[in-house]
Amino acid sequence: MGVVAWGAGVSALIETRQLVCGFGGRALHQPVDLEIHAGESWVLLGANGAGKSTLLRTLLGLQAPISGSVHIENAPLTTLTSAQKAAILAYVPQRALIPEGLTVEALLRLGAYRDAALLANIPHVLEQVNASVWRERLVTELSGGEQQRVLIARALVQGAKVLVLDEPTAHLDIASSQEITALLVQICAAGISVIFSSHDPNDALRLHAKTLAFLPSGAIESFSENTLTAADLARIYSVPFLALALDGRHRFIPHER
Amino acid sequence: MVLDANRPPLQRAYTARVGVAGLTLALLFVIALASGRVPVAISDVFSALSGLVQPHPAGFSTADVVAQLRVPRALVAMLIGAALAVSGLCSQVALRNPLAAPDVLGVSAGAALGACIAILTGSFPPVLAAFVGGMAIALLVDTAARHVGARSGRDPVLVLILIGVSVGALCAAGITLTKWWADPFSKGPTLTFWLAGGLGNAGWREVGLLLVPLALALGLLLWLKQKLPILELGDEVAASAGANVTALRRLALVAISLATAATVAVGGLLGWLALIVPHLARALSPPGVAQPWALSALLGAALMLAVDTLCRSVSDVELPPGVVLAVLGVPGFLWVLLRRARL
Repeated sequence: MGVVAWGAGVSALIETRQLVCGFGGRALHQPVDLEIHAGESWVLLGANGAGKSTLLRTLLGLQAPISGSVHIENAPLTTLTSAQKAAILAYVPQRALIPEGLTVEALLRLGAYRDAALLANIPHVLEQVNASVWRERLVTELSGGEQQRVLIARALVQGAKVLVLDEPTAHLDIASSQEITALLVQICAAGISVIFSSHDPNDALRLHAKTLAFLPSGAIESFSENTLTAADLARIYSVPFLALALDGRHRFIPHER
Repeated sequence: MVLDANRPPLQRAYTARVGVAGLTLALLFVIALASGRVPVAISDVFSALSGLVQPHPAGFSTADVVAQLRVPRALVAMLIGAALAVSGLCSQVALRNPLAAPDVLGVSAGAALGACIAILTGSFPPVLAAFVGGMAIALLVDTAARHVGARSGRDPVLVLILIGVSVGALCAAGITLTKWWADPFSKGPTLTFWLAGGLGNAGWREVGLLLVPLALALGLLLWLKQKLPILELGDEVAASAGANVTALRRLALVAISLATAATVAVGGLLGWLALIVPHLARALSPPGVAQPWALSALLGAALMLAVDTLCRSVSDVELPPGVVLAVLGVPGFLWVLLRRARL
């Protein structure tokens, strides 16, 4: 089954047509028709190996689809140059390389690769991620959470309309993880679309994001803001979930089998 | 310097080190001109250098030793040292691998094989053959790596290095074969002598031979220098930031092959310098300078000049520079590594 198109009629920033992603000819999911519009945020949920990272990489043009196509602002992804793609999509991978001997500012300057005028973004972005004090520090000397903020800053300097992140809070402690999620909320509020994969379904609630759910059957379902239920999560993760209201906030908690 | 990673305070600390390296090189240059089997006083060195500009009266003099033998030889040594060091740094940045060097890419072996075949057949100039060999191998390795990488989905850098090392081994086998084939009384010794590396025949002609390819490589590198750091982010993030990773890496390969083939054609196999000098330069740079291009070039030139001067000065028979390079360079390299590890 395909995915219901949201906001049909408005031209989509990213659109997939019968897209199937995978490796070496092996499809990871059923064909998906997806429309992502400017200013929307999406959380990709699903078990390990369901194809979340692969779909993100395919949207970025880093990997060819098995079948179907990706269109960016109505142009087929394959017809765009790296620089054209970079103006629309910025990427923070799950395991980013931390370059040795590079200061925070030097790392951020790399974000301006496609256009030197973007260097002017750096002071603002440093403030946005609250990293101005580390400007002269080596990236390798920062903690995991601090590194992630700086890596996100590098992508923000790129001035793209969409920020694509692969499990941005994986491997982080609870405090750092909350800081990164808060930063993503703030980035959304600044008008940049955020598309990211996560193992925490509550991220969809925190960001008031649409959800793209990878089901064990290989189907992909989408949910608009605040429509995800504990029953849906049980289908995604094959684990029962509880929906709770804590201090006026709705949260999902996995129930042990 | 749009994408230059350095900020003013950092830049100043680095510039100071570059200045010290430059002065050291100038001092070494004068020492090199004064030392050798015919000792020349420092004052004569300077008058001989001024004689390079003004026409000199006919007749053999110490000034001729300096002007016709030592100056060109010192220039060749410095050019080779700088070219190899920068090629090494360029390989390490382009392949994001601290072990990368023109040797690892098979370029040195390809150039050497080309020259060996030329010497063996005597049909075309070894210098030209070294260029053709080096460039052909670089192209072959790059093309093969792209096809294998695209099909297997493996890390393209790893594939490139694997193929480079294997093709390099194949070229080394080819070189052994040419030695085995060569007439042991005429071509054989020429091959062996040439393969050992050395600047015994370096004169003004060799300076000229080096200039064109090195100028081309330098021009390419000056353009690449601002672009290459993006590869530090990894191929995928670099591509997502707007870089054409394949083109960048291929241009870097062209610059490396041009420079390396030129050095192999003139000085034989001295590639080990390309691996260690960038590490020395990085260890001597302030933290935060990830690509010390100028410092690598100066240190490479200084090291090669010092080694060559020792080779031709310590005994009546010239020592092979590869051996002196190892004896002098390895302990020094290890010392710098250990010192930095403690900091």
